[in-house]
Amino acid sequence: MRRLSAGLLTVILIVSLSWSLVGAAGYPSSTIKIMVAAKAGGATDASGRIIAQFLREQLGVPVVVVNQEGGGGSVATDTTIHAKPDGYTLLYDHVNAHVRYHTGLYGVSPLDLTPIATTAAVNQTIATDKNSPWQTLDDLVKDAKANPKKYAFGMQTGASSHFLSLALMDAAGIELRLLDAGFEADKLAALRGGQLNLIQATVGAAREYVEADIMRVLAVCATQRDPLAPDFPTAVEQGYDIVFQSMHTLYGPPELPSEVVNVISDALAKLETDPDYIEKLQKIGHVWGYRNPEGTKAFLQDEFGRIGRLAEKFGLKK
Amino acid sequence: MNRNRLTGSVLALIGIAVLIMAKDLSAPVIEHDPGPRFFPSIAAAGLIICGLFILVQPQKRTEPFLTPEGWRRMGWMAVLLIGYTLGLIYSGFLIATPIALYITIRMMGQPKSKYLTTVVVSLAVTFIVYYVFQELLMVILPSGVW
Amino acid sequence: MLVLAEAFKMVVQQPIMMILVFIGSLIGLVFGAIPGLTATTGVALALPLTFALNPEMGMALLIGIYVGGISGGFIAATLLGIPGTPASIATCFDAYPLSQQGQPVKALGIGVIASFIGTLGSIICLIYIAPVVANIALKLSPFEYTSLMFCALTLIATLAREEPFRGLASGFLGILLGTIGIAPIGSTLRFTFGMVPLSAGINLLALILGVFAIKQICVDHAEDKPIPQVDLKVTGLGIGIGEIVDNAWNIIRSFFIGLWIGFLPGMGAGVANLIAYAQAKSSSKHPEKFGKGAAEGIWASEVSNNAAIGGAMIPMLSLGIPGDSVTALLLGGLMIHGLIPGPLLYIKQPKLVNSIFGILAIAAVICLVICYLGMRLFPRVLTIPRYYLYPVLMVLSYVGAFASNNYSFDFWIMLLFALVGLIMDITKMPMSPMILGFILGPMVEENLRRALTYSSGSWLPFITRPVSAVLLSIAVFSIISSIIKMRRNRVLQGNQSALA
Repeated sequence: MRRLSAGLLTVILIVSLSWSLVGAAGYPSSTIKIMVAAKAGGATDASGRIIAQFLREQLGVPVVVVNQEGGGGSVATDTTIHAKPDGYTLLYDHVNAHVRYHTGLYGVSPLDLTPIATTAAVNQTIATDKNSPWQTLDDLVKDAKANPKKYAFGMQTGASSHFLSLALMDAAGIELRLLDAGFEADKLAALRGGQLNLIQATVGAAREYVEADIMRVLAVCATQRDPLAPDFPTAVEQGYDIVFQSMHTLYGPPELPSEVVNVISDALAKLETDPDYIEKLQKIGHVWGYRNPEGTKAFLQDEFGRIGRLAEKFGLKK
Repeated sequence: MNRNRLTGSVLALIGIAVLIMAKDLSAPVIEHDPGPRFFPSIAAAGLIICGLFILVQPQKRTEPFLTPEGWRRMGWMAVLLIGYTLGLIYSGFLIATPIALYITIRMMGQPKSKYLTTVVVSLAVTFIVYYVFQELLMVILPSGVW
Repeated sequence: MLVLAEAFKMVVQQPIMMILVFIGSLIGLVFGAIPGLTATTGVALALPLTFALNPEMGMALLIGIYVGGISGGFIAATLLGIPGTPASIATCFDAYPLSQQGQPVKALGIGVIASFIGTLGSIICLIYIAPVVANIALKLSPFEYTSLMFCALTLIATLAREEPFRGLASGFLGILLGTIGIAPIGSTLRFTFGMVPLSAGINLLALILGVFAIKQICVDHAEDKPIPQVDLKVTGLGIGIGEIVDNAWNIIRSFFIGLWIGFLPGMGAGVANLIAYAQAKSSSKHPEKFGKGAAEGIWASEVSNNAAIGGAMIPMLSLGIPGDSVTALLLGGLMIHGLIPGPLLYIKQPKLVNSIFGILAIAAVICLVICYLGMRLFPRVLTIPRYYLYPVLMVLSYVGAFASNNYSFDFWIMLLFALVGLIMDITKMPMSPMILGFILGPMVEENLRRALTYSSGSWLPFITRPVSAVLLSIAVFSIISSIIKMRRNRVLQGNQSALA
């Protein structure tokens, strides 16, 4: 029996060793895992899967999505940080990575990861009930200035919507009551029930609810109008500098070699010219927003700084 | 010390430990929110009260949970589970699983299990599970640290 | 019935749809039956496959897995005492003892019929009352949710009637375990001891696999119990019409509990089965038989978890709000095709909505047929020598613990809870209150704290809002009646021991 198991072990060892030797030939040569910091079925997961599918076609190796939504994304980040920097473990996350760090949920800065590319963005709107007296952002700001701390904004503490509400208060110089309203369903219920006056909603969801005549969008928090809903005005064009997108970013572990970064980044750059994929992303409410590694790094540093400043100003820094 | 005393005091101690840890939790961010320490503190208080009641309950006669032989078997099972877990994490599914299966079947099946059948079953189960999950369902199984 | 018949016909006429529903249901049943693999895992895994299909075909596959996954859970619960999915936790409390007493076919028979009644009934409710009731989901505030969850939590008292303090302590332990991780409202880290994986909280699946599967394997191995004699010669379903009639009220009550819990956003079959079980026990004439193979308990659990399917689809289809974790994934499946479900789905996509009704009904029938045919086959699992069965179960438990989060930390959580389960067995602490507390505790906390921020700290709305007030009075009534019944029991016991 002992001989048998010893023999078995040797065979398995040889097989697995030869596999890993073949793997060392050139990047990429085996399965790439993309850790998605969100649960399966959501918008982030969907765009992660579209990106994975495109990379699979471009790179000719299997690219699989692994969902690790735990800890608001901390677990996925942790897995990536501790992965070998060989390009076979990547992370797909958005602005929440900065929020997690600045609110003390996860101790390692996302800037320590290797930025590869920004991919697609989801635009966020500031929305109100259809029966609200406010037609524009100006109406809201005037009213809120006259009545500080009166109006309630529904957000989720420690998530991007929290910082969107802070960005609004910061840019417009108003004071709102910030209430934790949970997910889409709870927020909508509270908005209709009158417990909330304002909520954050993605452009995709807002479009549906506006069409169903139960919601009004005051502003899209981006520099340009969203092609998915061109009739929603931006905050910038109304004179308020509130830019708060959920820009999805592909990261690698720290110290990921630049050759590997370039292989992935160059492959992704081609997505822009593929109308099929652009349409796929639009269907799930995403807008393509590729940046090369340097551009991504600059973008992340800027976003990291903005979130950090808001966290400090509103006393959330830990 | 009888079983009620031990159970009750351990539960009460857990409650006290939670109360102490909850004290250090940060203050609420939102106005009128009772904060993160409110809810665990209530549950901990409840646990302490229940613990105290169990502590003073009269002890009914109880049978021993396992025979000494049973505890010995339980001990080996624990060693095996910890070994398999470490094996999965460090050497990966394909190496740890056939070995763990072989040992478990032999251990549980003494003296009925046969060498050859056990080897075949261990390998077959490993590869079927691996194929179904990793290849068909794209569930990534632990691949070890190298 | 016209809509249902039409929807049914629509799907039956397309062979490809039928094949997809069949494949889906079969995968779902396997996922449901294997401990550690759930309907949620199955749908999440199949989701990317549907990107290549059209929305109707995608839904056929996913909904098949959903219905199969919830229905299949009772098989492992009955035969192995391990809930195949969280939706069948309460099923093992009675189905396993019944099957150990040599009646696995009867226990399975109840599971098959109960699952079918639950699914089909809830589909009918979905079709006919969805547009009317969907808006209720938008009218409920955190006050109502808190009161409802609190009401459900008081059922711990019912589950623990024999050993009240141990039961309550177990419930409080569960609540405390649920507070580990990122706290709701304010998102601070709580009791994570500096471990990043714990910031995700304790994985329910790893916990269940630990306290049921791994613990069971260890204890059975240590005790070296002989394999029970199984009666496989039962004909038909093993249950008669009389039994269904006797349980009619139990079935109806469990059905509506399941439908309602499924309907409420954020709660699904995993909560429904526990609540329906506890409610069945508290209303039963023979609560002392629960946990020892009471058929009533199996009916309650299995009807309610399947009724939650139709319940969860109501807000999903009419509002685009998922009722549970699986419907959240189904939304993802629609979204990828550019169909953002919302209040207009019924108007914009009537054909799709109709197909979904048809798919649900067909999946229910397919599950019924497969389970019925398999009923005589499944118990043969019990005739496999334990030294082959248990090692394989052990490996599957590990795979299940890993598959839900892809994190090896969950192995240790699973082992830790096997130990916790063992200690609770030794100290005679009941398990079910802990699981109920673990699942419901976080929901109570989140809604309670949210409600207080909405009311600026006032507790008054809990009693001034009518729905909330009614729910709270039910909770108070249930606590008081539990205490009275407990006292009566004690007096009876006292008399008996005086006589002896």
